[in-house]
Formats: sequence, C-alpha cells, structure tokens
Amino acid sequence: MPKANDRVVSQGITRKEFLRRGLMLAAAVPMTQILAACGSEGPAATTAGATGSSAESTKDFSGQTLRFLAAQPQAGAAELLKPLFEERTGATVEFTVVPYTEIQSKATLDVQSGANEFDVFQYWYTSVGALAEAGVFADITDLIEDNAGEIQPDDFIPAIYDPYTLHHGRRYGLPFDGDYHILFCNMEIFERAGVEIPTTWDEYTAVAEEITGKLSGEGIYGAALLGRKTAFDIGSSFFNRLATFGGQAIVDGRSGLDSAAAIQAATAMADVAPHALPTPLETGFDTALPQWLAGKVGMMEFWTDLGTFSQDQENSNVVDKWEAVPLPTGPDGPQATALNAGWAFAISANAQNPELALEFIKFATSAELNEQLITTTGSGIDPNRRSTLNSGVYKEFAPKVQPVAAQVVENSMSWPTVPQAPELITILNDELALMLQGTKSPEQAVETIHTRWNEVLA
Amino acid sequence: MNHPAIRQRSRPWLLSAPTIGTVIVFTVIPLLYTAALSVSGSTLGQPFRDWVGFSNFAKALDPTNVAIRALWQSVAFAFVTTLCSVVLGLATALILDHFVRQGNIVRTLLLLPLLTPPATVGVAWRLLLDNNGPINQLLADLGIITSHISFLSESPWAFWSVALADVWQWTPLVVLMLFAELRALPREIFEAAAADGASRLQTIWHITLPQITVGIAAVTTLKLILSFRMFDLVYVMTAGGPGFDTYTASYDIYRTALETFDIGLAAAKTLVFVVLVSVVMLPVVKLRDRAVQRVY
Repeated sequence: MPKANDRVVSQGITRKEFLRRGLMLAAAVPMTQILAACGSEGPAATTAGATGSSAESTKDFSGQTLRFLAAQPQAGAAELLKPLFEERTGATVEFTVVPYTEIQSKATLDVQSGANEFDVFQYWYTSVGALAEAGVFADITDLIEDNAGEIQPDDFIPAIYDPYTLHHGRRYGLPFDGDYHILFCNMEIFERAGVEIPTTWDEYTAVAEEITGKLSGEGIYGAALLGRKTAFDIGSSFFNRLATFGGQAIVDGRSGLDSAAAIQAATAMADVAPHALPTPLETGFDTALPQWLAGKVGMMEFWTDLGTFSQDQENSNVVDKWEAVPLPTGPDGPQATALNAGWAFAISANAQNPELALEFIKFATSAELNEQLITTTGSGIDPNRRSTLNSGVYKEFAPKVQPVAAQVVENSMSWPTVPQAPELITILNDELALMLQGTKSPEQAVETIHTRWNEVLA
Repeated sequence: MNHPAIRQRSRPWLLSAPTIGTVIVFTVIPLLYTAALSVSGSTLGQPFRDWVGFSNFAKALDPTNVAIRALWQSVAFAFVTTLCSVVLGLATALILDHFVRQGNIVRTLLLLPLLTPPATVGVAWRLLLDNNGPINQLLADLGIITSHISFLSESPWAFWSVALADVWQWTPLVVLMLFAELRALPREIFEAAAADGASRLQTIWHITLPQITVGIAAVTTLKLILSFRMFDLVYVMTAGGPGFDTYTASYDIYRTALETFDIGLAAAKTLVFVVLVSVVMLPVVKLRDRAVQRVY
C-alpha cells in the first residue's frame, strides 16, 4: 500500500479514508465475518485459511510488551495486527505511527541514540540497504533458516523477497505488503469513446488522447498520471514504464539509466501528460483515487487493491464497469510491473525483546495473515506469497485482479535498495518533475538522473 | 586579599554569566557542531564517518546544483513577501487608526491568522487554489479566465501562490505592531496639523510616517527573518515545485538532511545560508539603526 500523503488534501474519498473505514469495520467484526461481509470483486468470500496456518505460536508471552514503529500508510494494518497478535501470544502490543518519510530517520535515531524504544520497525523496502548499513536492523539470516518451517521463506515471491530483505547477501527483514501496479480501465468510458484496451505505451497515449478529446468537456480524462513529486507517485509512473520497456535501474552497482528504455519510459510519461487528469504535477494516488471511483478517469496504473475499492458499493461509481490488465509494454518490453511502495518488518538491532520481536514478524508476515489481509477490503495489503496470491480465497475475492497479478508479479522490477537509495530516488523525482513541468526534455532529464546517480553511487 | 575588590571586579562577569551561558549553549555550541559536521562525511546513521574537507561546501556552492537556486529564491521570496506585508500592513494599520477607536475586536480578529498553524494555512490555500477550487471558480464566473489555472503546478503562479499564503498569514502581525505604534502617538500633533489645515495625506506623509519609522524598520526586519525561514508553506503547498519554482533554502536543507540523509552536506548548506542571510540582512539592519538614530 502506498503512502497516504498527509500533505495533500484530496477531494472526496481518499485511499486513506477507505483504509480507515475498512479498519473500523475490521475492529468491530471478527475476521471471518469480514471476509463474508466485505465487498469483494466477485461473490463474497466465505472461508479463510486456504493456505493453512504458518504462524502457530506455542509460546506464551503474557506480561511482555512489543513496541513497533509503523508507517502511516500502514496504520490500518497495524491496528489489525495488534489484537490478533495479542490474542495469539498474550503479549501487549504498542505501536507508533509516523509518516513514511520519517520512518528511516526515526528508526535510525532510535538505535543510534540508545533510546531503543522499538523492537520492530516497519520499513519501505528501498531503505533496507541504508538501514542495514547503519546498523539499525538486526541480521536475521540465521533466524530465518532456523525457523524456516514456520516462516516458509520459499513461499515468498522471489521478486519481492530479495529486494525487500536482502543486503550484501544477508537478510534483514521479512516482506509484509507486496505492492505493485497493474492497469485499470473504465470500460464504460472506453465504450463511449470507442477505444480498446491498450497493450503498448504508444496505444496507451493514443487511447488517453482519444478519451480526453471526446469527453473532457464532461470532466472525464483518458488517464490519471501520478506525477506529484513524491516517490510513490512520480517514481511509480517512471518505474512502471522502465520495467515494461525492458530497462534496469541499477546494473552492477552503477546507474542503468543510460539505456534507450529509460528515455522511452520518461518519454511515455511526457507524452501522456497533456491528455491526463489535470494536472499531473499535482496528481497523487490519493487525489487520483476519488476521480477514478467517481468514473472520471479512463485508465489508471494502480496497486492491485484498487479492484476491491472499485467494487465498494457505497463509495464507487465504477462497480462492475472496470477491467484489470497488465501494464502496457514497450515495443520489445516484457510483461512486467514495478515494486512501487512495498513494506516489510525488521527487528531492531537493539530490540529489548528479540524473541518476542521475532515472534511478531513471523506472525505479521505469515501466509495466514497475508491471506486474511489481502481479502479484507480497505486493508491496503497486496499478496506477497505465492500461496496467498494463488489461494482459492483470493481468487474468489479478487477474480479480475488475481490473474493479472499472478501474471506479472514474478517479473517485478525493484527500485534501488542500495544504501544510497533515498538520494537516488530524490534525484529521480526532481528531474522527472522538471520534465513534466516542461523545463527539461525526457532525454535531458534521464541524462541528468544517470549522471547524478553515478556520482552518488561512486 | 581584598575580597570586596575581587567581588567588585568579578561582578560584571557574574552579571554577564547568564547571557554568556545562553549564547554559548544556544549559539556557539550548535554552530561549532554544525561546522564540524560540514567538514565530515556524515549520514544520520553514521555521523562523523570521515573527514571530507571542504567538499561539502563545494557541492553546496556548485552553480549547477539546485541549492544555489534555492538560496536566491529564498532571498527573492523574503523580500517580495516582506515588501507586500509591510505595505499592506501599514495601509491597514493607518485605516484602522483612522476609523477604529479601541480596536480590541479587530486586534482579536487579526490574531486569528497568526494563531493558525502554518500547515493548516497551507492546506486551506491548497484547497482555495485547487484547479477546481473556489478561486478558479470565481475567476471563471467573473469571466476573467476561460480555462482553470493550475496555481500550484504552473510557473510563475506557484511562487506567487505561496507568497500570497505567506502574506495572508503574516500581514496581520505587521498590522498589529504598527497599529500599536500609531495608537501610542500623541494626538496633540495631529490636532495641531488639522488646525493648520493639513490634509489627511499630508498628515500621514509628514507627521505619522516619520514618527513610526522605527516601528516600520523593526517589523520589516522581523518579517524578513520570518520569510527567510520559509519552509512549512512550501512543504504543504508545493513540495518545492513545480520543478524547483518554490524551492527554498530551508526546504533544500530539510531534504538533504532528512530525505537523502546527507547530514554533512546539509550542515554545509546551513552555514552557507546563514552567511548569505547575514550579508543580506546587514544593510537592512544598518537602515534600521539609522532610522533609530534619526528619531532619538
């Protein structure tokens, strides 16, 4: 689930609001009832546990307290985790929610200052290298091996597991939320504009132009281009295209953006911008979401849980009017996606209660819980295990999204996870924003990113 | 040993000790620490990793770097918003002085923008200036615009939009300070001027303004300092964009320190910014001192 940007006030219903509503519902109703009651894409799911439990706890931690740091976009999931883990172990769970941009500094200062307030940190996977290098995260490679029966590491989707947790060959966390984009199309708008679902980025631009040309008078636009200068927005738009043009972000520790694919990716963004929801530089996922749900957007690249939001009878005008398909590709590009956002749990290097911390991350990242969360409307959690992605419950819950997600996720492209990743991502956002502003051409923007990335990586 | 003599000699030091201590704790130590960071390779997780000499300063002063643009935009922003706030504030204070006797209610109302957290001000202006917001709607209804303006994502609108929000928030401070100055002026002079047949404008120009010059200078200095620190409105309204149109030095330092975690470079940028602000403020302070001397 991406960042719910608290800097931006959106119009109407936001992703965050959805999450809160789902959360309130989840807090009031037992999980199995939620599965039966919540809106799914198809017939209501009625049973859980298709994957079987992988987080059976035999220990009693009564009287002990686990403290964890949660990212603001994942606050809803944290609320769900707390009672479930407390019931399972007898331990008390306390968590602190901070904006995702502050996770890295908060975690670092917690360990560096010796405050040691937290046993577990939730982190955006791109910071795994920086936080491992700074000694904030405990190396849990051996713990994973020792507990492989419970953790089932082989069940994690490899394209997610490695970038989320690996640094210099060692593991520093376990994946919690697999976040990747697919393309959602409003078929009612497509029919009105007389266009077909695009399979290439050129077609995507042409379709967006056609829809906007015909229907913008009614406030309907061909596409929502997430172009706001935050990583989860403008960065996601670029990496979606880079992955599907066949590019690479980092190659052998150096920038891989000196490729034709990188320029094509940036060009594809610039090309569609004039035909997208006004104005791309102000369009974040939380401002685009209500427009999509209001039926004002023809196409939107988004996280897979948009399917469940779209089927929410109370808040969506596009119920049963949409289709999910893989992202378009470049002429020779692969069918792929990019790991946009994405969250994991790590144990603090100075955890006061490492045993309880391990128990917690085992539970939080278990197949059982992942399946429960991905089939709960508003949890904002996407599948990160093969067993949950392909479970009968999820297939039933998300019949349109599941086949697409299964088709592309194994070929997900990771963002940089090296220790310098935060700086690399900032440079990328800045230059792409200049491009969308019209100050730089796609070629100039990509060239600058490539040069500056290599300076930073050197 | 003459104890009273020692006491006599040490008395100035004892009396000065709180001031000296405060300066050391709040100025000298942070400055030295920042200076030490600026010549080190430091990240948030690993401060003082290695000695890097002046390479951080070279980066901070690299003309191709956005940091230089941020510095100049901070200066431009500070002067533009200060000029607007002082002119508007002075005009408002003069009008209030003319029409309002006590001004208690007005003073309370003027406090509202000052009491509003800048983040809230930013959010409110974001909504007002939205592509489909009330300001666009109003301009369209009046026939002033034919298509909506993206105030926060188009040049040069974004710069002026942030400036507008800042002026809205801080002009009441100028009004309050100058209104208090005006209320404190002896009324006899104005009565004498009226008796001599001076017009309202002549009275303002020849009597009122010269008497509140020190107040104007003080509030100008204060507003300049506030404007140089501009961060929150930029953070909330534009994140420095579109492109780097509203990218200020404070925002650049924040991003360097807490988004890219290069604490050494952030420290170097901070010192460069401090020097720039000092240089820019010097003539302003001189002018204020001259105004004070002229009055007293």
